[in-house]
Amino acid sequence: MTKLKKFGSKFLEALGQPLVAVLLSLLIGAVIIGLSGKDILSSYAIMFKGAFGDGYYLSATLQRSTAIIMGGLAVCIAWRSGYESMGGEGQMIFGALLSALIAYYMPGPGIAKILVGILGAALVGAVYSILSGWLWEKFSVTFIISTLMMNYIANYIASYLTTYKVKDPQSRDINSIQTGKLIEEARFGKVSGLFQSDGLKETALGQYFKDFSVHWGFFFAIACAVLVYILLRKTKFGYQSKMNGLNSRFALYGGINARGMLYLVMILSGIAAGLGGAFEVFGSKYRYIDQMIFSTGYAWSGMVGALLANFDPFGTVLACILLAGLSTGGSAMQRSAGIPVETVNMLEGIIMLLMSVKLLHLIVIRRKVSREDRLKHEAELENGKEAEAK
Amino acid sequence: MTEKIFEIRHIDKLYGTLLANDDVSIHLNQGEILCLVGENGAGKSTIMKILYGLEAPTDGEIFVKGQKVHFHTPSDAMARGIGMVQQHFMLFENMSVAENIVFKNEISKGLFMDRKQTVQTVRKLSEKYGLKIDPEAKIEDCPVGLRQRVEILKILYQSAEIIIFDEPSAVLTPLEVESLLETIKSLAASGKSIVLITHKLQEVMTVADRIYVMRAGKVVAERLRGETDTDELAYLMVGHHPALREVPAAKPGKILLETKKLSLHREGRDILKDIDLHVDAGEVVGIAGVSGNGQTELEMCLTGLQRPTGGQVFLQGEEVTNAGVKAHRDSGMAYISEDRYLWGSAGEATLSENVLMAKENRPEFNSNNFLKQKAIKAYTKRLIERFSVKANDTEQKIRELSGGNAQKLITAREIMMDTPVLICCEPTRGIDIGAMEFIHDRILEKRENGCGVLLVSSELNEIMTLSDRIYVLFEGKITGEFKRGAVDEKTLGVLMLGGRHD
Repeated sequence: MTKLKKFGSKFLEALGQPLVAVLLSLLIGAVIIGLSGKDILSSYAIMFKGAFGDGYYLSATLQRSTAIIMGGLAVCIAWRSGYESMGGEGQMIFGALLSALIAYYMPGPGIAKILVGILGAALVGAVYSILSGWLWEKFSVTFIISTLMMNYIANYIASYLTTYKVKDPQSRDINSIQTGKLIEEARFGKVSGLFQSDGLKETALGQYFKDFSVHWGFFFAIACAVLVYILLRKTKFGYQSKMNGLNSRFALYGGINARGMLYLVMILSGIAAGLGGAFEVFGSKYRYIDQMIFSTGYAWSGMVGALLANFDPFGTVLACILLAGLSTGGSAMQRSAGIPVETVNMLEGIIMLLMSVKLLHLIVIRRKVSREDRLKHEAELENGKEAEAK
Repeated sequence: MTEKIFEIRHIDKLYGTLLANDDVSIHLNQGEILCLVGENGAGKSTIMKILYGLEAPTDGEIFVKGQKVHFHTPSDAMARGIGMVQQHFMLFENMSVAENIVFKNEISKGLFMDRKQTVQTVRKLSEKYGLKIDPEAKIEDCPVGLRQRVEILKILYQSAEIIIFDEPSAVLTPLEVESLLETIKSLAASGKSIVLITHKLQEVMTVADRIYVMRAGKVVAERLRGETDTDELAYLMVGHHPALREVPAAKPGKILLETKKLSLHREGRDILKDIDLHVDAGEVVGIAGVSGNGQTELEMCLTGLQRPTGGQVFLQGEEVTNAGVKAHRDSGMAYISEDRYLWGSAGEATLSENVLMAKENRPEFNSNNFLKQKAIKAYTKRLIERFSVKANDTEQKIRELSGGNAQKLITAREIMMDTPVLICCEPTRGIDIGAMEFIHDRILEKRENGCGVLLVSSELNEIMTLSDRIYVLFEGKITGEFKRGAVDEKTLGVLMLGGRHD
């Protein structure tokens, strides 16, 4: 009984805020839909159907969630270790651009293009992430500021390159700012035809999955989540990085190398974000299109997802799929119920706002704790000085 | 017949499955100094937090001046004239003393705060109660003792009649403690009623009129000061008589820890200057000194947290001066930090995560960089049992433990590292008598096993009892070295304050 209770309270503690955030945002959304004179329940039904209603919509949602999940995992790794990096977007942009360029220009078979492209994306993500770590270590540039600014830098560099240097040679359209399209062999394949064997075809399951078709990238992202879970929960690195995040002085005291930890964390989180960019290129867009990461806000949705899940990798996957569903469902709502898609953007905005209360809380608490620590320390020193004076 | 200014009747308080207060009934008379004594986790602070509206009782009643009350927040309690000086001060660093004192009850002139009037009022208040402060000083420039005084004045300003002190001396130096006790007496003389929570029995015998002893959530005894003494109180607190410690002579062996001309120069000051010390196998070496004379920096240099600006550190003959914490620990050093929250633990981490620190590379807990969770939990459980830490579960957060219990677990972690060298700073700070004895036993046990222990403590008693050799540290220099029995407390005290030994 008490065990059940304990589980219950832990469950509530973990899910309380995210649940409240999502429900509250749906509630506010309901008010707005109601005010615009539309039927609330049927609008939400359309939205749900448009996100998870059948295999086709589910596929759209899962494909959209791929880059979001990777962005979320990057946040899990970095934030859990105490480094509040918001640079996933920039790393993802470079990952996408470089993988698109490698796969387009490098000669060789399709599979080689994909492999080298993925490798390049991981590498460039890591390097760009290291850069913000270095700025912090050397010049104490706050993570939030450096990484945010570096997102813009990455986006504009990518814009410049796609506009002037690596623009699709086949394109005549002056307005399409994008790199060349990848050949068929250099794209991710799709998983489809689930539950379509003769016995299952006619069942409800078979019917649901009839139009299911999702590119490999999504499944790679799930595999990454499993790896991150193992890394964070089962390994020495996971333990040390968590301790570093909870109390960096304690980590020092125990002999954990702070510098090594910083760079390792930045590398891993940069790899995750960079891969997110590559998966988006190989799975969905087959090229780098100007603003494709920046305007979709994948990295930000990922951050919301990671925050919703309190940096638990599996929870992050679920939250990111939910957020992706909100977008795909939102477009359906616009099509069928005539409710502008902005309403849905607003829902995500509200969730983000409600979750950022937690973010603020997190940052303020950390600040406060370190401030209290300092106070206590200073007080003790002062204390000594006074006694000395006497 | 004295008036009962408050009365608590049959209070129970349940935290989860832990009964923190078990049918507690106490009362306070007008103008009296009441002491609540007991070990850590005996429930002293809990009962006062209930009275102050910080915690809700599970059962029972509270009466203030004969009227039944239900406090939901401290402001409710404050409105009835009850104020509490907490261990952690709640002051605004960059505001003045006067501004902090009138906070929430500002004196205004139109829309604005009347600063002149504020300063005058505060000055008057401070004179009235003989609590000297400078109303215009910034809090950040005030030492701890003064900050505490500001807290007291803040409560007096809100015309409290009952003042509760929660372990007020824990953060103070001996001189500050003396002046605090004077303050408490003069407050009582001016008609205030005082509750003092403490486990320092000397303080109790100096100021108390009446004493309640608590043990395991219950009130086990009520005494007037005249009818008891520290021995009886200690007996009542612990439930048995603390044994007088006889420490057998040490048989020192080879040198385990050594420094040569260790110096630390910072911001134009010599924090440490030419420290030559050594700790041999099989001895406990004490560092005596008033805190702030370089102890913190010395321990940090010895453990690798701080790079010295000059000199060398050797562990078992190997130089580790600039090698970093890991190298120090790897060459056989364990370290109990003086500050258990700042350095010694991560509050939000579980007990087993806190216990694992610095052991995560050991093969019994680590195979190919994967952690052996089961072994870690089992080990944590063993430590909890062996050091009788009051905890529910190895997976609860360490911040949920009381201060003394957290300290026990941290001490346990480092002692059980089984290293040849143990650097031990304030190992029993905030710990009750029973646990203190136990930890002292473990330290001596390490000595018997041929380990070297360096003990830094502000409790002179602890240093005198345990150390085979004592160094005196004053203004970053070693100003004396004595063998056990070659020096008395008084001489040490003089040296610690910079006097000369002759």
